[in-house]
Amino acid sequence: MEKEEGMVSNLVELGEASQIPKGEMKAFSIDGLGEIAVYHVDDEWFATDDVCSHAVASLTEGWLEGFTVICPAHSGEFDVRSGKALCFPATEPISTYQVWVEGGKLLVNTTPNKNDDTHASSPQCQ
Amino acid sequence: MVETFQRENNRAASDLDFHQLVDVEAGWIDRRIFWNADIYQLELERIFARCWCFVGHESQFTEPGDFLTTHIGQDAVIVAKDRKGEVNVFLNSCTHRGNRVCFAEAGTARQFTCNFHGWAFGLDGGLVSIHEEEHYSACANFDKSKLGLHRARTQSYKGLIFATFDPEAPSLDEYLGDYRYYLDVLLDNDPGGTEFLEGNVKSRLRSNWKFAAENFVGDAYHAGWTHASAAEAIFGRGVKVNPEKSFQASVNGHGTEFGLDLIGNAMALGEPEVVDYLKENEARFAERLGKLRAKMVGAMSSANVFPNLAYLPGLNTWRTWLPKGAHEIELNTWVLVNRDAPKSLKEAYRRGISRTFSPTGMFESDDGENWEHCTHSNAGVVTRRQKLHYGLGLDSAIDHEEFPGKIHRVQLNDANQRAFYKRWADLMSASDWSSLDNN
Repeated sequence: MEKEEGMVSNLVELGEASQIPKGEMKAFSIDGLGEIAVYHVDDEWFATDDVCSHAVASLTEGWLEGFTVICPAHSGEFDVRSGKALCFPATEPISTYQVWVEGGKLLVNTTPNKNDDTHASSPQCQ
Repeated sequence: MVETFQRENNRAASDLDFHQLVDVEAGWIDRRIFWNADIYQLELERIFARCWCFVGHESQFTEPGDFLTTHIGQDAVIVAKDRKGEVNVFLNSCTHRGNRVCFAEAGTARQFTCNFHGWAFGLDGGLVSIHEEEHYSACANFDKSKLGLHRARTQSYKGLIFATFDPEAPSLDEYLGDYRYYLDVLLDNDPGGTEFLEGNVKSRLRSNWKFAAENFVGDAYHAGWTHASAAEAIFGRGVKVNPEKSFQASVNGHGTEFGLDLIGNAMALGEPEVVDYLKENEARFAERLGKLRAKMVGAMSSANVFPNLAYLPGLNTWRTWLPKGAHEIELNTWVLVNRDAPKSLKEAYRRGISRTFSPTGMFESDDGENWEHCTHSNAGVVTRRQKLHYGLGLDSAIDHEEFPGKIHRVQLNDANQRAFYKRWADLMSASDWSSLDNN
């Protein structure tokens, strides 16, 4: 994901990118924001809130299957690219964040992305 | 006319004298044990809710989330591998209203969520979450850690997974005892171990479960008559028992009847590759099993692990007799092969078993009809008063220098059936495991 200019104050370094192998995810605690989940899918990186929008549960304790993260509590599903809720009982989207790798370090912009399309589609299970 | 030694009356089943119903010393059995619904209910309590029951083979659980559903007695259970690699067995019934939480026969799951109120259980049966959980915050007796699906104890023996709901039951090793010597004939004749070929066949028979179990535990006698035409079609000759080199062995109600002929049963598959494999590998088997026991692989034989796991050491078919009432069973069958065997050999076993011991197989269809009529003739109240003869081989016990357990000479014998019913009567009579002898 491209780094945007002018967001430096919200930039947080999360350590070595190598700590998250392909196909895996990890939660990071960010001061003032809470838990952010970072996903490594193929050669791409994505970040969302770690807390499910349906009930209180950590998404990184669930399952990552392709671009879909599945909540361990009620099996609600989200697209990690857009934060869109994909499956009952999840109906509300979760926030996404810019995340990228620079010099082997994982960097995240803690200002949420503006995802205009996240309410648009009807939920469906994969 | 044979006199009735225990007339039917209105006493509770738990008050019956099971050692009188099953008179193994004299070799007579009261037919009510195959018919009476109260006796059957007591079997579910005192046999199936106590014993180590077979629930699956480790090869059926390769990845976390792999699961299957089956029954222990009539208790529906889920068998699932969790993320730590442990295989767990727990009731398939939600702790909230009792609904079934898994309807599939097998598959891969992340968790098991009840359709009714969304209570979700993990791969170890623990309650992970519920719908609208915040509404339970003030509920004093709502403790998620105590609301998981009721778990069974689970232990394995060389790939076979067993479970028991009885916390007092002895360990699986103790339960199987010296019968492990005979299980190893198939489970440990090759260093790579065994696997179940994918898939199983389910069928229903209108038989009491014990007729199926006793048939496999010791009934070589029926083979030459019941299976004469099928044997003629496959071998071109009938079934002959060798009186000098055939035996029955029993341990704790488990039993096998066997010859020492290496290929006697395997020939019935009608697959030359299987017979060639056994002949070519006899020396290898002997390295692991000893010369004598190596002759049991593929031999004319049958076996039942108490209460309801059965197999044919010569045909590699494994099956459970799941009780569905006093007069019905669900038969589940699998094909067991050595994991490192050639693919063509595995397919030969699969084909051969389909031909012989599937619902339409030449041998299985012979047996099923007999067991159904053995069961349903007892609908007649006068018929039910007539005890059945189990006296063959009462004087045939021997000591054997190698074979463990209780040994009788000549596989054509009722000795193992009597041992099976003695164990049955012991369990039906005993209030707990500590009052049971292992023998």
